[in-house]
Amino acid sequence: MYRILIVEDTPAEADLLSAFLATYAKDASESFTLERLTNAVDFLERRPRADLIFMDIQMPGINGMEAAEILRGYDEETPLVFVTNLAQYAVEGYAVDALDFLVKPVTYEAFCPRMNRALRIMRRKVGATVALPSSEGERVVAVRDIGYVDMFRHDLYYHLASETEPLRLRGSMKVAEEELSPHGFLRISSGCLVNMAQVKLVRQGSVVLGDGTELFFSRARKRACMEALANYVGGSR
Amino acid sequence: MESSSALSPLVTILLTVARFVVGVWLFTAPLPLRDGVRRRVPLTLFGITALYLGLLMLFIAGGSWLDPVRYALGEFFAFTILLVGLVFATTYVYDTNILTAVFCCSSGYAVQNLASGVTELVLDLTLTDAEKMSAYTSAGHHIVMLASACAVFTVTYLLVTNPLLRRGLRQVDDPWMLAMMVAVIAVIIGFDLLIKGLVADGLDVRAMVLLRIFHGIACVFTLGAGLQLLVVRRIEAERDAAWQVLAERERQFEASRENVEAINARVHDIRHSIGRLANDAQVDRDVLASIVREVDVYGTSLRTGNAAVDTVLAEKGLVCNREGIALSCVADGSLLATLAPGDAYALFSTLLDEAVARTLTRSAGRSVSLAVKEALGNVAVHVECTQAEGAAVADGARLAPLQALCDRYGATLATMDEGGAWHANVLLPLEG
Repeated sequence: MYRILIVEDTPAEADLLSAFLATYAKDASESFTLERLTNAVDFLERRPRADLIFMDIQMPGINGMEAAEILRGYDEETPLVFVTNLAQYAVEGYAVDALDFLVKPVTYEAFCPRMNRALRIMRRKVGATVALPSSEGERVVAVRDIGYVDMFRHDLYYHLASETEPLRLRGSMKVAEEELSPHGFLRISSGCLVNMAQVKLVRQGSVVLGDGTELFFSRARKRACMEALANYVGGSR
Repeated sequence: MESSSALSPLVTILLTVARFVVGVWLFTAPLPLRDGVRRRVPLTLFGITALYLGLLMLFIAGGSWLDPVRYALGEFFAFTILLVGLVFATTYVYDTNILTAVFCCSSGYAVQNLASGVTELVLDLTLTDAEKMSAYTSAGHHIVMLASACAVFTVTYLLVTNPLLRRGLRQVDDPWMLAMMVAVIAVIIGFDLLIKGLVADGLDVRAMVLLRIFHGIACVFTLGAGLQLLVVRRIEAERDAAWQVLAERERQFEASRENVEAINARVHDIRHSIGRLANDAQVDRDVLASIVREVDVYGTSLRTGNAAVDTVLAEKGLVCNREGIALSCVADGSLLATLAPGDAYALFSTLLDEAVARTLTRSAGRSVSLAVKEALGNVAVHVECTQAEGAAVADGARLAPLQALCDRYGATLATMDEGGAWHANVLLPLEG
C-alpha cells in the first residue's frame, strides 16, 4: 500500500487527481492511501510521510517550488510530481529532483505515464527481503542492505551495509543473480553482483558504491551493464 | 583402411561436393533467397555436381596421377573454375550481388579447404604411400572426411555463421573482394596442391605436418582477413552514414535556431501590441484573451539553459500542440555543456522525433516526457512516450546515427519498448 499526498489549493483539481488515482489503482491492481493538503505551509509544518507527492506550483503563501526546495532539505528521495498551469514553471523542477510534471487541466491520459514512472520508482523503495541459507540457519536480509555480492572459490560473499564482515555462503553466482536481479541487482562481471540502488558513481569501467568500494565491469559485460544502469537511472527500471 | 566398393568413388565425389556446398552455405546463410528456391536449389546442386565431375574428368582423371605436375595443374584449374562456378550458383540461389557472392564463396572455399587439409593430414599420418592410392575411395577415408568437415564446419558455424545470422550480412560492394578471391585461389589452392605434390615426392612426415599447419593458418588468416575487411567496411559505411545524418542535423539546428528566434521576436512584438490594445476600453476582453492563447502557442518556449535543447523544444512543442501530444520537460540544460550545440540538437531532436512518431500511433493519450538531470556523476537523459501496443514503428533506423554520437562522447544509449510505452535513456559523462 503506497501513501500518496496531494498538495493542491484548488479543491476541484485535488478531486480530479484523487479520482484519477482511484481509477489508476483499479487498472494497475494497486492500493493507495490518499492524503490531501490545501497549502504548502501545512505540508511543511506537518511533514506527512508519503511515497509520492503531487505538488501544485501556484499556491498562495509558499509556492510549490519553494516547498519542494525545503522538502529536499530533509527528504531527498520521495518522488515528486508537479502540477502546474504553465509548463515553463516546472522546467526547473530538476533543481528539486522532480520526477515530472502535469499541466492543468490534467487528463487521465497524461496522468497515467507519470504515475507508471512514479510507481516504478516507488517499487524500488519497498523493503524487500531475501532469505539466505547460512550455517546458523536461514537468515533474512533486507535487499537494500546488500551492497554487492562477490565470489571467492566456491563461496558467495554478501557485503552488507550494516555489517563489517561479509556474510559467507555456499552457492553459485547464477542462482544469486536469478534471485537478486528482480530487486535491481546487476551482474557486472562473472564474479560480482551489484545492487544498483547502492551505486553512487558510474565511471567508464567501474561503479563506486556509497562506502567507496569500486567494482569493475568485465569487458564482456560492460556495454550491457552501462545500458542497464542508464535505464535504472532514467527510471525505466 | 578397408577396401573400397564400386560405389565408393561416387561417395567420395558426393562428399567433396557436399563439403564445398556446406562451406559456402556457412557464409550465405544470412542472405535472402530468390523466389522459386525449390527449383533453384536442386538445379544448383545438380549443376555443381556435374561441373565437378566434368572438371574431374577433364583435368584430374585419365592417368594424370602419373605426372605430378600435370596433376597439380589440373587440380589448380579445376578448383579455380569450380570456385567461379560456385560464385554464379550463389547469385542464382540468393538475392545478392556478385561481390557478396565472391566473399561468401572464397570464405567458404577457405573453410572447406581447411577441412580437406585436416583430412589429408590424418591420412598422411596414418597410411603408407601404397595404402593412400586405394584409401581415397575407402569407407575409412569417408569417415575421416566427414569427421574433419563436421569439426571444422561446427567451429565455423559457431564463430562466424551464428554472428552473421544475428547481425545480418551486409551486401558487399567492395572491389577488394575480388583481390581476396585471387588470394584464395593462389594461396589456399596453390599451397594445398604444393603440399600434396611434395608428399607424393616422399616429403618427410615432420615437414609435411609443419606445412599442413601453415596451410591451416593460411586458411584461417584468409578467412579472418575477409571477415575483417567486411567488418571494417561495414563500420566505416555506418559511421559515414551516421556522420552525414548528424552533419545534416547540425545544419538544421542553425536554420531552426534562427527561425525560433525570429518567431520569438515577432511574438514579443505582438504581445506588446496586445498590451496596448488592452488599454483600449472599446476592445472586447474575451477576444483579446483568445488572441493571447493563440499567440502563446508560438511564444511559450521552454528555457532549459541550453540553446540547442530550447530550439528542439520550441520546434517539437509546435508539433505536439498540433497533434494533441502532452509534452513535458524537466531539464537542466546547463549540464549539457560538454555536448557541441549541433550534437545536442541532433541527440534531442532525434530522440523526440522517435518519441513523437511512436506516440502518434495512439489515437488518444499521446504523451512525451523529457528529463535531463545529474545522476551518479553523469548526465541522465530520459525520454518516455506512450504508444499503441503492437504498433509498427520503424525501430532503430532513426536512432542509428545516435550510436556514433554517443560513442564520441563516451555516452551510453539504451532503449526499452514495453508495449504501451517506449523509453530512451542516455548516460553521458559529466566531464567530456
